[in-house]
Parts: sequence; structure tokens; C-alpha cells
Amino acid sequence: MSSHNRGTAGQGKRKTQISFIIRDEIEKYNRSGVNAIQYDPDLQRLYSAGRDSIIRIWDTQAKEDPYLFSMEHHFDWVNDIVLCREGRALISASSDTTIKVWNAHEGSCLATLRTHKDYVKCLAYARDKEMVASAGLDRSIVYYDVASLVALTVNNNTTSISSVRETHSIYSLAMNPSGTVLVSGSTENSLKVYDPRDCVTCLMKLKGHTDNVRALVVSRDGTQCLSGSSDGTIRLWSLGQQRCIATLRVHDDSVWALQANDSFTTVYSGGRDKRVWATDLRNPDHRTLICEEKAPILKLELIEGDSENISRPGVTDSLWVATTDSSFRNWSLEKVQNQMSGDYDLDTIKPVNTQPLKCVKGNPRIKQYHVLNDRCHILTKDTDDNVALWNVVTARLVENLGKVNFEEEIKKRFKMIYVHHWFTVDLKLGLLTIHLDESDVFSAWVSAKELGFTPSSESVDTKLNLGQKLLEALFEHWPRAHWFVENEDGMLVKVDSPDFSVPDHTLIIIWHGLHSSHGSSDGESFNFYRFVCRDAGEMDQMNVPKHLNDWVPHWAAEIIIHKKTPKSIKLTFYLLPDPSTGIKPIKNEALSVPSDLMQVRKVIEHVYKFLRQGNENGHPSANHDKEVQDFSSIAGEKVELLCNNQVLNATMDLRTVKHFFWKQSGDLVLHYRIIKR
Amino acid sequence: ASVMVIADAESPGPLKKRPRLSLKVQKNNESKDVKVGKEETDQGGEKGKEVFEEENDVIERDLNKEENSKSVVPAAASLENLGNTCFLNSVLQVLRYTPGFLPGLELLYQEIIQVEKLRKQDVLNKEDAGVFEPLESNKSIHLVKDLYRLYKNMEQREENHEEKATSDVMSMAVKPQKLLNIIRELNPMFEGYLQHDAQELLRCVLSYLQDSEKDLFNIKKNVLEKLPNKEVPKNVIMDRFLSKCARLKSENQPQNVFHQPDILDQIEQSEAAKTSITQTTTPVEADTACLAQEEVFKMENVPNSKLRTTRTPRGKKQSEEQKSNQKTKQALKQNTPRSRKGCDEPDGTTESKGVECNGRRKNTETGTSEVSDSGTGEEKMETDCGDNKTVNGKVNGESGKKDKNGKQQTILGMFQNQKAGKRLGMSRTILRNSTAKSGAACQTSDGLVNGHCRDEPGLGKTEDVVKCKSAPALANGVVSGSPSKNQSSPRKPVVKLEKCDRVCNSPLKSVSAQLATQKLSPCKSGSSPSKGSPRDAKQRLDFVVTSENKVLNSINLKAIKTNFIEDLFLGKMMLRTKCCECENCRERIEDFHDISVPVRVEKTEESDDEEKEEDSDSCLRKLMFAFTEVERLRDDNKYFCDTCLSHVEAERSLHYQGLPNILTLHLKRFSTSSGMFGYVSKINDHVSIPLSLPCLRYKCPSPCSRPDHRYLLYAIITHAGVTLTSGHYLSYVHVPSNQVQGRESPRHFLSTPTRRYPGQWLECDDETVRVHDEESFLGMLQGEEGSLMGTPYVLFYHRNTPVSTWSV
Repeated sequence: MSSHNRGTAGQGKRKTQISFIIRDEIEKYNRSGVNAIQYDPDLQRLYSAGRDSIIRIWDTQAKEDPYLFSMEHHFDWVNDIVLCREGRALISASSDTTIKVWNAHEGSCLATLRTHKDYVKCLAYARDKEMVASAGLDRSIVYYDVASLVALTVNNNTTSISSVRETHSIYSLAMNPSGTVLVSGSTENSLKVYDPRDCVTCLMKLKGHTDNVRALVVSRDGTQCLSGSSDGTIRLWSLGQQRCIATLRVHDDSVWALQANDSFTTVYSGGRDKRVWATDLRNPDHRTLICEEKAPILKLELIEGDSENISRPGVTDSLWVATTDSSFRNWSLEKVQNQMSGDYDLDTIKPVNTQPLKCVKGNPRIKQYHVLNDRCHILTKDTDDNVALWNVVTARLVENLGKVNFEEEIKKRFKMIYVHHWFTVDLKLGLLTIHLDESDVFSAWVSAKELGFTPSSESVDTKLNLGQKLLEALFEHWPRAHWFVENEDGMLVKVDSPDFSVPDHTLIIIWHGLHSSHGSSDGESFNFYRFVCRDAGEMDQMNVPKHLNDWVPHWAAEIIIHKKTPKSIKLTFYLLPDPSTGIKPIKNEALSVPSDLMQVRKVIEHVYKFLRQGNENGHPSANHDKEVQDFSSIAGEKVELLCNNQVLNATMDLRTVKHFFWKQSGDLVLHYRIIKR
Repeated sequence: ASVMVIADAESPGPLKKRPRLSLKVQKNNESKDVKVGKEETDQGGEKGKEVFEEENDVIERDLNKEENSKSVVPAAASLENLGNTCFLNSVLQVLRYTPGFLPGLELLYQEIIQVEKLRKQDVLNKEDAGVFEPLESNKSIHLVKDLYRLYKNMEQREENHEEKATSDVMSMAVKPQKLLNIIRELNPMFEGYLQHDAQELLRCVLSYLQDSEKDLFNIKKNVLEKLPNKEVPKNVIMDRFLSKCARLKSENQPQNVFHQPDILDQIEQSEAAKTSITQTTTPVEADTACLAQEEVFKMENVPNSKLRTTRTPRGKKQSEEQKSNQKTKQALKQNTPRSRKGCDEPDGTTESKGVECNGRRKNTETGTSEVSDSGTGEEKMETDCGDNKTVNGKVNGESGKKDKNGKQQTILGMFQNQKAGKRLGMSRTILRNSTAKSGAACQTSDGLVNGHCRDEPGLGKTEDVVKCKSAPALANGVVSGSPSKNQSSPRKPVVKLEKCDRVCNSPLKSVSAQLATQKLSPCKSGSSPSKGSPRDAKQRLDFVVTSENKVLNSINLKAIKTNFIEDLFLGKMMLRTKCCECENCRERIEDFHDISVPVRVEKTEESDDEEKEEDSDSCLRKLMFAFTEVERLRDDNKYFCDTCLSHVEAERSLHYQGLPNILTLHLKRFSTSSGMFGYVSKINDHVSIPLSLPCLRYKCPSPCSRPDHRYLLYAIITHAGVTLTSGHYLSYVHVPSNQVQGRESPRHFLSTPTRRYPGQWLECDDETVRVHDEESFLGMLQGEEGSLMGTPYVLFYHRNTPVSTWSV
């Protein structure tokens, strides 16, 4: 398996990068784990925040296909979402460091906030005050007024925020509905309590956990707080007394998700041990194992059917459980109250539910990849062990191979060819993300034949640069990418169309990393621009073409706009007679060829010509094509080339020789000898 | 006779002394220099005389210690400063007092000697002596020899304290010139008269020692491979013996005989029915290349049993075996097949016999240890010795061959005896080497080779003693040592050789000494005999005779690698990286030889205002845990998690997994960053040093209650001065009390003045050694009364367990 690159966000010293995601036009199902779930009781809709960067909206009442639509402006894990304004607005936090404000009913993105400099991990929402707080790995907490966020437009793009900076990465955040208390949990292994009205001062710090605090719930009145930690415990804190009043050891492993009922009498918890427990806070010995999931639990969403403010006949208490798996389930809490008892045995206890009420299915995610050595195709394997073959240059799935042996498929597709590395692969979304970097994007040259396609086929040796062709395809719809020629009618006609094309729904992200680091300090933040391939040509309200001018990096513009051909890679090698020939090397100079794609045959011809000149001294060189052909075949019969004592195939190119036969750094050394019969 | 001088008052202060160059030293101590120089040449020429001291003498001196020590400089050898070489001296002193180090060095040294002989022998075999390339050409092996000689020299100085010591500090000083030279050859970094980093030197020396172990192993393997396997040993050996002895004689340098430590090889006998073990040792002399061996086998067998030597599986003994020399093995091998044949012929019940033998090994062991452990064993031993003598006489009589004419004849006699033994159906062979220098008890038997077989009618007891004098180097042959085989197949006759080096001539002493040695060098002893690891194998010299017919073929000599440096200093730590997202951990285990402890804990931005340092004194413990503190991979240094397939925050932490027996803590006092002028400068921050360290293993609950996981301070190297390239080093070492070592170290081993200053601390300041008792040292350490000279730089802790339990 190829090495992973240092992915998109957070890895510094990148100047500019162009990335794209190979995906279906509509990714209906979650591709990866689900980080957060929100429920809209009015519309009975469910919002799920996926690690595949997509927020999906589901109809919980649907019989067949619950999928409604997606909101996909993020391009990294969506870590948390909150539903505000009675379900009209949704705020999402992502590892792409942004916070986005959405019109939840329409699914349009209202605003993007770049207030954080690192992954935004968590959000907290005070319903009564319509306040939202966000925090993440940049160690700062930011407060927003939802009303002002929703009012943001292209022209009115400022809002007042207030923020506080902590010393540790924040993994959890909670506010009570009235917004009087805000609690944060961090890798400092402690809780910090703030008053959101005066958000600068930390009211108190609660110590007790011995590991990261990953989940928090604050009671409605703001006097109590529950925290779940990687140390495996849940602690109940009295904020008035500033101390821990109970420690619940319910889980065998880290606690990652907490929910409490409105009256703060029962806590639901889930975590790394895949179990969901309900624990009676008044009597912590009373607990019920609600269900057992198949993957570590990331988030719980409690739906209270008959609470005072949300009175809805027919809806019983239930719990949505999101895990690192792409499907998520709804579990009934009906039996819970009855079952609570102090008598249980951790080993033998059975969950009260064996079947979920509902299940939203997800797709398997790609968990493994291998770039084939033509550097054009990628083999992947997903969590269901399906193997698939992808083409990078066309950004498409080539073939779904089904459940076959991954290693064998790799072997089967091995070709004796060496192509330079020119892109990196990223699987964090569960989809293939390809990164193109200035430093090596143009290093892959292949002959058109090898690629299995002959563009205009007038010459045998057509060489294609994969990076160049791919960039042309990605920016196909960008008007500036075309040269127009005035035809006889005075109309502008597009001349060349790319040799390849990518699906026009392909998502492209351009990164500008002007900084050495991202996230930590106040240094220049990196920046990015995200667009869909087909939108490059539209003058939509986001002013894409205009922006694209600013965003396309110069190295890509040279290719796309100015149609420059990337430089081929030079290769230097030494050509020496094989010791067995007895020929003394006349000169021991390095030979340099303009392209490492030069085939061995060419070198053989050179040698043959050289030898013949030596013998016949000034034989008039053939000036007909036919003779050239003959010459070439004669040369192939008379002379052979060796590298490291292995005879080379005449059709191989020199870089392949260097990679598979020479196998070392330093200039390639080739030996020639005359074939004896 | 000398005037009473308190060392402290008399010695020059360290500050005065710091810039001293070698020239100055010579000037100051011109008169002494001659003496020292002489010592030096003695040492170099390997002609130092062994001085035998009677035990009584030592005890007496112990009693008089107080008186004596006040009058002259302390009876602890010091090292002369050869021009800012205090960095070397401090390290050498610390190593000398490092538990388990001297025995390890001794073993390595003996191994070298043995390999050298093997090679010479190999060359002799081929009769082209010109090819012989001395092992000395290997510098790290050379280093071992020089180090050994230096310590030997120091030891002699201490033994001769009464005669030599005066009020002058130089009277106990030894010049480590040769060692310094070889170190400089190995690493030119240590050239010049500038001060060097003691820690760096320590690392170098230890790694050279490790190299030498490795090299030696390879050479040995090489040599052994070259040795002809199928050659019938007897004639070759005889020839070589003769030639060697002839050479010896012609050289006629009896003094030479003593310059090397003697090696006493013992064959431990376990008898089938009634176990009685006799180990007789006599001081043996041989020429410089030869080690004297003495092996005594005494066996009592039930009537039908053949003679068989068995070995005890006990770990304790293994250390001895390890020391035993290949020659011995070979010599024995020759004997064994023959004797076996002899005994096998009469009866075919070998196998059953073997089982019995094995079954009784335990008894034998305990018996042996009892004898050796208690002083009361002496008488018994003596009588046994006497027994042997008479037995020997008898054998001689029976075999009708008496050789009293000298070494060659003795050797001849040995073989003759073997023949005799064969004829007699002897099952046991006792090899005994004796020398002209041997004590009175042994003298009678000196030069005799006896084979004796005696049958006691009622018990059917057979006792065979073959006493032979042999120069081990001459023995040639291939011997196989395979402990696991022995263990697993008790039916096979097994011979165990145990070897002990000794200088003194009292057999009783040697036996007890030997046992003490075993205790002192436990790190060498394999913990589980059944494992059959190379080390185990090394520690056992076993003969496995699979069948009578295949005697020769089945015997192989195994080359085994020693690695006492690793055993003492190597620890393991685990690097654990925990993803903050999925909380999966990745663990990687790494070796370490020392722990570098930052003196200043860098204040991270994370450090909380509320958590203020309790005191400005950085406690070592705190610093050490700061070292193991979690490192966070975050911001633009995120960690790529294989599970999340994304860059995530992670926590990286170090955990001590396996801790070494000797824990070396290196305080990072020299830093390039803190210097004002851009060069390496020193952080002089005070670090309070605890006498003991708590358990550091991450697996243990905190606090760990197991006392054997604790560490005790035994040495400190301090540095006075402001920069790395200047200043003065000195070392404080703790002299182990007898309890710690279990037993006082045997005299023939490299030793430290344990007896004189048990439990006290020595301040080794080049030529000057000052003695502090525990209390005052503690006071100095805590800065209550006076203080240490210089700031602590390298700290040495040993495991809070007897050295004997340091099995790996």
C-alpha cells in the first residue's frame, strides 16, 4: 500500500495544491462514520453530519428511502451540527476549519465562518437565547448570535463574535438552554466553566478526570453538569459546589457520547465499548444496557416523545446512535424505566433491545488503496471488502471487482513500467481524494500507447503528461481554459478540447497555504476555494469565474490557460561496452537524453550506429523512412543492452530500466554487447 | 609506620587541581613517578606479581583498619590525572564500583585469553606460526585487556596498601596511560588536553566493550570452525603439549607463570547413590598463554554404573561454567570418550544410570552449596583433599606409572593415566592441574597424574580420580556444549566442567571463593536452563555423548557470546502513540542505555498558572517524569492515524518497560541553547538527588510497592566548572557492603576494597580518594554539611536487589 500523504488540513509548508474528490454525483448514503445527529421534531427530520463531509437530511417517517437531500459545502469531516431557530437554521462545524450556517429547510449555505484555525470539534447551543458556541483544536471558544449569523449575506459579511482562548485542544462543549453556563472539556483532562454573557472569564475549573473529556451535558438550570471522558468514567458535577458529586463507572472504555433527559434524571451514554447505557442519576446503581452497536459510538440524540414542551402523540422515547460506521440506528427507550435495577452482571448482561426501531443504512467506506504502477489506476478496498478499480485521470470508477483478494488483484495488474509519482491519495472521507501538488504534478509522462489510447496517432512516440491532461480536464468548463478562434462567420469557436474529461460533478478544492503552520498561532492562515467542476464556467452568485482567476495557482494556469507543455525529465546515463565484448570504452562520458521516456531501442540504435561508424567509418546515413525502420530492426538484432547483467527489452523506457534493473541512486549505467549467433 | 594524615586535609582542592596538566603532575610527584612508571611497565608487560595474602591477614587488617587508614591515604586505589583526564578517571572509578561490572569484565578477559590461545593453537596446528595475528590488533579487545590490567593493578595497589601507602596521595595512584591511549586510538575525539564529556566517554567505553564482546564472539566462532573436527585429539595434543612444555622450559621464566590469573576448572561431580562432592583446587601455574586448570572429579557410583560426570542445572553454577575455558572442555572431551568407553564396555546400563544421576542432582547441589557456604566445610574439604592425594597415589600405584619429573612428564602421565583409566573401566576422570606454586596441600600431589579406581565391595562404590596437569592451551578437540540437550535427555552421559579462577593456594578458600563468585556474577547466569539460549549454552560446558560409537562426531565446541554490558545497562522503553480521535494506540519498543534527563523542565504554554512549582528545587524524580510526560502531536504536527485515515491529534508518551540493572541518568546540563555566547554552556541548576528512585515501570501501579523495582544510588559523576570543555570531574562511589554483594568477592577476581570500606562512599578525585561515611555523604548530597564538589552530572543507580538475582 502506498504511503499516505500528509493530508489536506493541518499539514504545513504547502504552497498550493489542487485536490479533487472522486465520487458519485449524488452520494445518497453515508460513506463514513457519523459524527453528529440532530432531530427536527416539527418536520420529523434527521440531520446527520458525516465524516464524508456531507450533511444529509433524512425523513424519519419515510417507509422506503429516507434520504431527502444533502448539504455539501464542507470538504472534511463534519464534526458537529446544531439545529437552531426551531429547525430553520443549521450550524455545522468541520475539520476543514470552517463553520457554516445553513438554511436547514432548503439546504442552502448561508454563510461560512473562518473563525477557527484548526479543526472545529464541537458546538454548543443555547435554545432560549439563540446563542451558539464553537470550539476546537485551535484551543479557542467562539460565541455567536444565531440571528446575526443567519443575517449574513455576501455584502453584509461581518458579525460580532467574542472568543476566549484556552490552553488545550477542546473536544467537547455544552451550554444550558438559557445560556447561563458554558462548559468545555479538553485534553487538559478538566472541565472549564464559563459564563457566556461574560465569556472571557473562566468561572471555574473542575478537575477529576484522568483523560480527555469527550462529552458534556449541562442541566437545564445550569447547576449540574455531566462529563464523559476517555478515562472511562462519567462524572456528575455540581457547578454550584464546584465539585464532582458522583462518578459513574458504566463503561469499559472511553465515554464519547452523553445525553440526559430534560429533567436530568437519566443519563444515556455511549463510547468506545460500543454499548449504550441508561443510568439513573438519582441512583447510579440503576442502569440499563439499551443496546450494543457494532462500532464505537460517537454521538447520541435523544428524542423525548412526551416531554412537556414537545408533546407529540405516537412518538415514544428513542435514541439515535451514531457510530464510526456509516449506518446509524434508532433504539427504543420504552423498556428502559422498567428494567432499571441494581442487579446486573457486566459480562452476561443482555441489552434490552436487540433490534433497532429504525436504521439508516450507509455505504461502506474505502479503507485501503494501492496506486498501480502505471500511476493512473488505483485499486481500493472498502469496509465490506469490495475491491474496485479507479482511474485517476478520468476521475471515475473503472470497475467494481466485488469481494476478491486485494493483493492478488494488485499482482495481476502489475506492469513492468515505472512512472513517477505525481499525486497523493487521501481516504479520510471514505472516498478517494486526490491531491495534486506543484512539486510533482507534472512528473508523470506516459506514452499514449501505454495509456491504452491514441489521440491523433500520427507518431509512434506520443507522450502525454498525466498531470497536464488531468488539469485540463478538471478545468474544462472554465472559459479561460479555452482558446477561441474566430471562424469564418466571426464566431468564436473553442479549439481544443481536453483529451480526457472528468465527471462534471467532480468536486475541486484549491488550497493556498501561505503559511508554515495552520491552526496553532496567529500566523497567516491557509485558504482554500471549493467548487464543482461544471460550475467553473458559470457566472453564478458566488462569482466563480472571477474568483477562479485569483485562485488557480500559476503553475496550473500555465498549463490550463497558456497551454504550456511541462518539461520532460532529463536522464543521464553511462553507456559502456560489456566486459565480455572486449571493446574498450572510447569515452566515459555521461550521456544525457531529454526525456527519461526514451526507449531502450533508441539506445540500441545509437550503439549500433556508433559501432558501425567505427567499423565502416562514414557510411552515409540512411535518409528514408524505410531504411530507418530496417536500421532499427537490424540494430535490435545485432546489439543488446544490459543493466546490472540483465538483458533489457527494447521496448522498455529508460526510467523503467532505472527503477526495475538499476535499483539505485546515481546515474544509470548501461552495458552493450553484440549479439553472437 | 607512616604519619597519620587525614586525606582531606592533605589533598589539594579540586579547584586548585583542575587545570593541572600532566607535566605538572610529574613535577610535583617526581619521586613517585619512578615508582608509578615501574608499575606501569609491570602492568604493560603483564609481569605484575600476584600477591597472595592469607585470609587471616586480611581480617587482621580489617580489624586494624581504623588505625591504619588514618595514618596513610585510604586503601582505595586512585587514578592519576594525565592532563585533564579526570573525565576518564571519574568514569573508570564508577565502572569499577559498578555492581556486576568487574565479574563481567573478568569473564570477558578470560574469554579473550582463551581465544588467543585457541588461535595460537590453531596456528601451531598448521605449523605456520607466522600467520598468527594477535587479538590485540582489534582495538576494542585491546581496550578490554587494558581495562582489565588497570583494574588488576589498582587491586594490587590496594592489596599492597600496607607496604606502599604513605601519606602521599600518589602512593595509591595508578596511571591509566595505556587505557587512555587506546581510547584515543579508538576515538580521536578524546585527544588533546581539553576537558571532555564524561558521559560521552562512558558511552564510548561501554560501546567498545560491547563491540569487543561481539568481535570476540566472531573470532572465536571463526577459530572454532577452523579447528579440525575429526582429528584424533590425542596425538596432536601430546605433540603440542610437548612442544609447548619444551618451549616453556627453555624460556625458563617461572615468574611469568604468575602474571595471569589462574583459572581453576572444576568438574562438578554428582554421584548417583550417595553424593559427596569434593572439589579440590590448587593454584596452578602456566606460562603466560596458558591457564592452569584443575579439575577434580570424584564420583561414587553404584556398582554397575559407569563413570559419569553430571552437571547441576542450578543457575548459580552456570556462571562458573561460563568461565571455564575451552581448553578444559577439550581436554575433558578427550578424557571422557575414553573413560566412557572404558566404563561402557563393562556394563550396558548407562542409561538408567544417567537417569539416576539426574535425579540426584539436586541433592548434589545443595550439598555443595552447604559445604561452600559454611566455613565448616573447610575441614571436610581438607580431608577430601587428603583423600584425593591418597587416591591419586593409589592410582599411580595401580597404573604403575609415576611421573614426578616435571610438567611434560606430568602431561604424559595424564594420558597414560587415561589409558590406564580406560583399562580399568573407569568412569570418572578427575583432571587436576597443579603447579609448582601451589600450596603445601597441593604440593604433594604436584606433578602427579593419578588415576584411581577403587571399589568398595558393599556399596559398590567407585571412585576414580585422575589427576593430571595440563596446559589447557594444548588441548585440542571439539566439544559440544548443549545444555538443552542435557536437560532433555538425562540418559546421555553428561559432564560438566566448572571453572574458577584463583590465585590463592588454599583449596578451601578457592572453593568458597568460587561459590561467592557465582553469586557475584549472576548476571551471567542464565535464569532458565531449559531455554537453551546461546547464553545458557555458553554457561554450560557440557559433553553430550550420544552413543559410544559416535563419541567423537557428536562433540562440538560452541562459541558463545558474552554480553555483560547489555545485561547490565540495557533497558527498554516503549513509545506509545495514542490517537485522540479513535483512541487506538500504536506502540514501539526501543532500547536505551541511559536516560537523559533535562535539568530544566521547559515551561510549556500548557502549564497551568494554578499549578505552580512547589519548590524551586527541581527534584530529579520530577524531572524524570517530565521526561516521560506526554507529548502532543497537534497543530501542523498532527499524526496520521491508520484507523481514522486522517490527520488527528495524538498523544505520544514514553514508558519504561524493561529497566536495566544499572540505570544511568545523564543530567542534560550542557546545552547550546542556554549559552549566552552561542557555545555549549552549562546549566548549574540544583537538582536534588534522591538516594533511591521509585519504580519507573509503567505497568506497575503507582506507587509501586515492590522493593525490587526500586533503584539505589551507587555513584555520581560530578562536574565543577562552567563549560563542557573546561572544569573538573570527580566521582563519588558507594562501596558495597558485604551484604549487598552477598558474599565478599573472591580474591582471584577483580575486586574493590569492599572489606575496608563497606557501605561507605569514596570521593575519587583523580589521585585523591577520600572516604565519607553514609551519613556525611547524605549530608553533602542534601547540602546540609558541606557539599559535593561540583554539580552532579551523571548518576548511577542499581537495582535494589542482590546482584545475584540480576538474571535477564
